[in-house]
Parts: sequence; structure tokens; C-alpha cells
Amino acid sequence: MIDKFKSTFLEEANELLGQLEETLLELETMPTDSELLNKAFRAMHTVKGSSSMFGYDAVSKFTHEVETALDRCRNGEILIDRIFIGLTLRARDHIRGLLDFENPPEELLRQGEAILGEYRAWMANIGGGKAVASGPAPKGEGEGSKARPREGANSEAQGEAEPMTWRIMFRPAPEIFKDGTKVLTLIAELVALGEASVYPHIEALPGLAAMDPELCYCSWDIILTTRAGENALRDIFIFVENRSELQISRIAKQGDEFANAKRLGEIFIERGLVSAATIGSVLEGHKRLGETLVEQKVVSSDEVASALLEQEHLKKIQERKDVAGSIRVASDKLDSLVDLVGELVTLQARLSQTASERQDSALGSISEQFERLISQLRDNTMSIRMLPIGSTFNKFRRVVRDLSLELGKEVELQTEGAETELDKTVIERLSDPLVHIIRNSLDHGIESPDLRREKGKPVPGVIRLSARHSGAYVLIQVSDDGKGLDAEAIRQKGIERGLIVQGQELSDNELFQLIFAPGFSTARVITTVSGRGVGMDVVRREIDGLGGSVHLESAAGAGMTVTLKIPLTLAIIEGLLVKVAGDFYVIPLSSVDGCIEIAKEDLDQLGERRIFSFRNEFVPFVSLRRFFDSVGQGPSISQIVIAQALDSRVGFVVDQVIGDYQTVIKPLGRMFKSVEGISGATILGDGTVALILDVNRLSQVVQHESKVRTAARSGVA
Amino acid sequence: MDDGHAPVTRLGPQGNLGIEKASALRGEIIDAFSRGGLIEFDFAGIVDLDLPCLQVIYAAHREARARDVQFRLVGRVNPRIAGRLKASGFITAIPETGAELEGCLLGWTREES
Repeated sequence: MIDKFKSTFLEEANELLGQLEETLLELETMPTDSELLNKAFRAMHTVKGSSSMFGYDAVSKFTHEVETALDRCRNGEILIDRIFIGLTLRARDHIRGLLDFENPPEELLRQGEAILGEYRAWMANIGGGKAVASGPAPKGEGEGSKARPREGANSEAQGEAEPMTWRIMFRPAPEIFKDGTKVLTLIAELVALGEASVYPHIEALPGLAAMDPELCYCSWDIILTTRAGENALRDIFIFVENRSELQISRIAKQGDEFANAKRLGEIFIERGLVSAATIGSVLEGHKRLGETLVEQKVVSSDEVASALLEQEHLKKIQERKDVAGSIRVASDKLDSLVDLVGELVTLQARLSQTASERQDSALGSISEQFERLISQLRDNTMSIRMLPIGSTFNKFRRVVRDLSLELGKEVELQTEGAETELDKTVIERLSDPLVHIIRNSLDHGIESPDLRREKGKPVPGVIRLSARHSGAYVLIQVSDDGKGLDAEAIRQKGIERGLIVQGQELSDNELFQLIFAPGFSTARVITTVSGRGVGMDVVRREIDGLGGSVHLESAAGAGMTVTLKIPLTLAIIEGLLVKVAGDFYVIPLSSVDGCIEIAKEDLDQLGERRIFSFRNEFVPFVSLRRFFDSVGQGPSISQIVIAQALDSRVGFVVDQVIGDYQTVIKPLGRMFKSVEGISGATILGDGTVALILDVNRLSQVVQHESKVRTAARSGVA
Repeated sequence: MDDGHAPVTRLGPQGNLGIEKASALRGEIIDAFSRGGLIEFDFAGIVDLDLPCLQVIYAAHREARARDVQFRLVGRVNPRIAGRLKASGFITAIPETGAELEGCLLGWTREES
């Protein structure tokens, strides 16, 4: 059980460190924003408290010292600069590293000491700064939370699943604005923790003439249902709690009987507004409680409205069992669920085939119902694995920050479509290719500030990272406003390396694709960042592995755009099952544009040209029978399946189109990894293995062959 | 209340209305009341709105009711402001215009002309 709690702590600590990184990067651009600083402090503070609770003493000790430095910034003793942000980002990375060990190795602890040493030196240099306090975290902070758990603190640390409902009465001090506190931001942060009903009291607001606009006249009653514990709620008010009135009390947990039908009178009593005796006497008169109490001036109409909102909130959560909307599930459990659904899909195919072979209508009917259910189960399961891609965008913000500092360039990262959802495995595998592309843009694309000034460009370069859905794919674009690709340099390098021949006609995209060849680089200077030609080939390999494609656009002097077209999921896809010489193949249905029949004589007539007309477009095709060296003659009438690959169409000649097929993708064994044109395999209902075609790769082969034939005809070698 | 021929004073603050602008805003609104007639408070140029200025706007509304003067919210409301007001309980729906905002602000009674 303890291990489970520990793993929840680690997950939450990593999430907090992710948020901390994002906050620090924002703080770097807005160093005087006190809310951001407070947010960074709170994240550090929470990591410290929880790590102490779970015996991660090295984390607690190190974090305590960093927190002290942050606190001094918060008190205005130290001004935040890039060096401080850089140090704190390194400290954050170090904490992440420490979390891998309950007893960290000496070397790691020495690294931590070195970081703290840099903090001390920096603070001493900026003048008046005392060294960061060292020693263990004082009682009452990290360790204190262990000794004096608040109500709900346990559930917070453990990631307890059960949501609780809290009443938070916040009466800000009138002078609260004067230290830069943004009250509405605090409320918004609190509300973001769960499902909230918020009642602001504005009755204390004086008239225009009498008011001092720099004083706060509002207060709030907030009813919040959340999985966060009391500590998390208090942390939001950590810097204002001592000057304001804050009451946090738990009023219900899900399933509590009293949450179901809490009466208005009970709420008044709990809030300390009315005594039980008064309530009793009003109720004896069979009058409406709220109205009567207002008439008697026992409570104000605002207090009644706020209490009614609480009553309504409790009623609502009781009605809706799934109150907090989400639960935390270990990702390996999800993987296992997807595997099981995959097995079910395969088994269902077998059932369907058996029913068909036996011509058993009862069994056929059951199989159809089973198929419908499994289809829904598959869609639901796949949707659970979908995550917003924005979670990785933050990582790139850090990459851009660190690299631009290293290279002496000013670069702004703009992002769009962070909410776009993709399968979690796809997101994980996209991370490295995107880092490579961004590094490349920064190093080779964006010019130095001097050069940009000379060219009349704004000094800060821009890298734009965007994501959006497009059918069964997600399009991810990385564009920059740098110098763009040098087509001539790429051509020369391509000829030099024997990738293309002199005089070979290539479209811009084909030419640009050469940069993905292993070891290809036009950079004259090799830097620590890039220039060795390692990286872009990794991008191509990873994207190919994901069943996606890469497209490049560039205009000299105006920048470059890399577009990644990635399938939404890698686990189960809709496929088109085809048959060639007794073997089965699956073509991803999302890329299929159509099918046409073709007689053997017509196919023979097309002969070596291997191009046919489809919807007023000349489309190259390949016979799968020929490509996979299958034996025997094709049927008298074949089918051509037209598929969309990269930017062009390609046709696949097959013996027979069987129909659509729910394809559970299985990876190929090591022996088959290098087989060209195949991206995976699936198991059919009768146990037969069908191979999944890599449409993009096959298309490249076909396009290349087509060009070679054209070149041969026109006399170019 | 007849404002058919009454003078109209349009206040169009710009940018972020944080605490540093609250006193000036209050002063402008007091001036507008002294001129008499209808006051239109235009949200179109406001990028963000913090509590001190929101309090001033509320106080202006009360002042208008006490003086029997119309104080109207007009112009497009920045979604950021709408989101902030909703999170802090001042509104329960997301308005797009000043008029819609008047219709849903807590404790705000819209006077029909």
C-alpha cells in the first residue's frame, strides 16, 4: 500500500515540477509578476512537504534551500534575473533527478551542493544578499506537515480518489491589493482545483464618492468539490492568509448522507450565522426560513443566496456520481486494457468467421451484437489513451530557452493547438523528433541578432509550434522565420554524397527530403547543437516508425516549415483487407481514396509505364504481387486500391479486395523489421497473419522508380 | 427616465485595468456623472480587468441607480475578462457584449431605456 502512495507522490511531484518549469519560463519574461513567483514558490513548497513525508530527505533538504532563495525574491530582497531563473531551472532538474533515488548517490548530492553553491555566490554578488540558509527544513514546514496533518492532508499525499466538498470563506484584508496580490487570480486558481460554486459578496462596496479604489471591499464564499486536500487549498492563500480571514471546512465527501439533503437551516448553523434555537422558532411558525430570517434581519439576502448556492452545489454533486470528472490510472494498466481489447477484436473476427462458415444464423446474430459492443469498447478505450499534446509543448519551451541562450540568439516559441489530442504512446514517441526539429531551426534556421538586424528582420526570431486534427491524423507543424533551406547547397551536397545525380529533376520537397538522409548536413560549422547530420535522419526514422510522414516547405530568407502528419493512434486502426497470391495485406483505411477494377489485358497494356489515370490525375502504381515476389499469375480481373501517401496518390494492384477490417497492430519481429513496405502485422480471425502496408514508404519506392523510368526515357542517367 | 436627448458620455478605457488605473477610472466616472446624461462604459479596448477596477464599475452602477442616471456597459467583452468574472462568481454565463454582461452580472439591474 505504501508503495502505491509513494508512486502517487512521485507522479504528483513530477507534475508539480513540470508546472514549476512552465512557471519559471513565464517568470523569466515577466520577472515582476508576483503571482507567478508565488506559484513557483507554492510548487517548491509542496514538493518539499510531500518529499519529507515520504522519506525523500535529500529532496526535502535541497528544496528547502531553493525555496528560501525564492522566498527572498518574494520579499523583494532579490530581483529576479535570467541567471536566477537558469539556476532555479537547473535546481528543478536536479530535484527531478533526486526523485529517482530514496538514497541518492554521493555524486548526485555533490551536484546539488554545486548548484546551491552557485545560488550563494549569485546572491552574494548581487549585493546585500546573505547566503542561503542551509540545514534541514525547519519544523512546522516540510516535517511539520507530517507531525500535524490537516484534515484532508492524508488524502492529498496519497492521491486519494474520493472527492471532498469544502466550504472556503475568504474575507480579504482591505489593503490586500497594495502588495500586488491579484485576488481574482487566487480565486481562479482555487476554482481550477475542482468543481466550484462561487458567491462573491459585494454588499460592503460603498458608493463611488466614498470608496477608496485601492481597498478591497469584496469577499467570497466558495463551495469546492475536489480531490485536492486542505493543504493544497491553503497553499493558494499562503501569502495572504495571515492578513486576511480564511476559513476552510470540509462539509461533505461524496456519498455522505447529509450531503444529499442538507437543509438551509443546517447551513446557516454551520456557518455560524443563526443559532439552532432561532431556526427552531422560525420553523415552528411554518414560514419560509430564508425570507423570514431576512425580514427579521437575522441574516442578509446575500447570506441566504450564498447558503442556497451551497445547498444547490451539494445536491448537484450528489446527483452526479462522477463528480470530479477524472481519476488517476497507471499508464501500464491502460496499455494492458488496450492489449485485451485487441485480443477481443481478434477473437470477435474469429467468431464472425466461424458463424459465417457454419451458416449459423443464431451464432451470426450474436457475433453481430458482439461486434457492435466491441467496436464501442475499442473506441472508448482508445479515447482514454488520448492526451493533449500541450503536455509536451512545455518541454520545448525549455529547449528553446536553453538553446537560444547557448547560441546567443533571441528566439520566441509560439504554440497553438495545445489541446489537440493524440494517443499517449504517439505523444511520447514524438518528443525526440520534435526536439531535433526545434534544435535544427534554432541552430541553422534562425539567424544571429546582428544578421537579422542587417536583413531588416525583427531581432527576436520566432519558432511556431502548432498542432491540429486532420481526419485520422494530427498535423504538427514547426515553422521558423529564419533563413530557410538553401536548395542549391542541398543539391550540391546530395550530388557529392551520391544521393542524386547531376541534372536530376526534383521538386523542392523531394530536394528538401535529402536532409533526412543519414549524416546529411550542409552546415559548415559543427556546433554542440547540430551540424553533424545526426538528428534529422532520426526524425525521419521515428516518424516513419509512427506510420507518419514529414513534409518540408521553405523559402530562401523567409524560413522553413516542417509538417509532421501523424496517425492518431498506433494500437487499433480501421484497415482495408486485401488478398495477393493467397496472402493477406492490410492498407490503412484512412489513406484509401478508392478502388477500381482492371482487366489483366489492360494491366499488361499499361506495361512498364505503370501509370494510370484516376480522377483526372496520373497515378503511379505498383503490383504487390511483383513487389513481394509472389509466385503465380494474377487473376483475370485485378483491383487497384488508390491510396493517399505524403503529397501524392499511389495505386496498389491486388488480386482481391475483401473489405474493411478492424486491425489490431502487432509489431514485426526483429527479422522482419527491415522488410521494405511493411509497417506491422495483424492476426485475422482464423489465425492467419496479415501484413500491414507502409503506404508512405511504398509510395516513395514507386515514385522513385517512376522517375528513374522517366529519366531513362529522356536519356538522363 | 427619459434619455432620448440626454448627452452621452462614452468612457473607453484601454489595455489592462489593474490597480494602478483604479483611481483614474473612478475620477473619470465621477466627471462623467457631473456632466449628466447617459454614460456608456465601453469594454472594447479593455484587455484585462482586475478587482479594483471592477469594484469601481460596480460602484458606478450603484451611483447611477441612486441618481436615476443610466450607466450602460457597451462594446465587445474580451473573453479573458469574461472568464475571470465567471471563475470568481460575478457572472454565471459568458457574455460577448457589454449589454449581455449587464444582463448576467451579479447584483446588476439593467435599466431599460
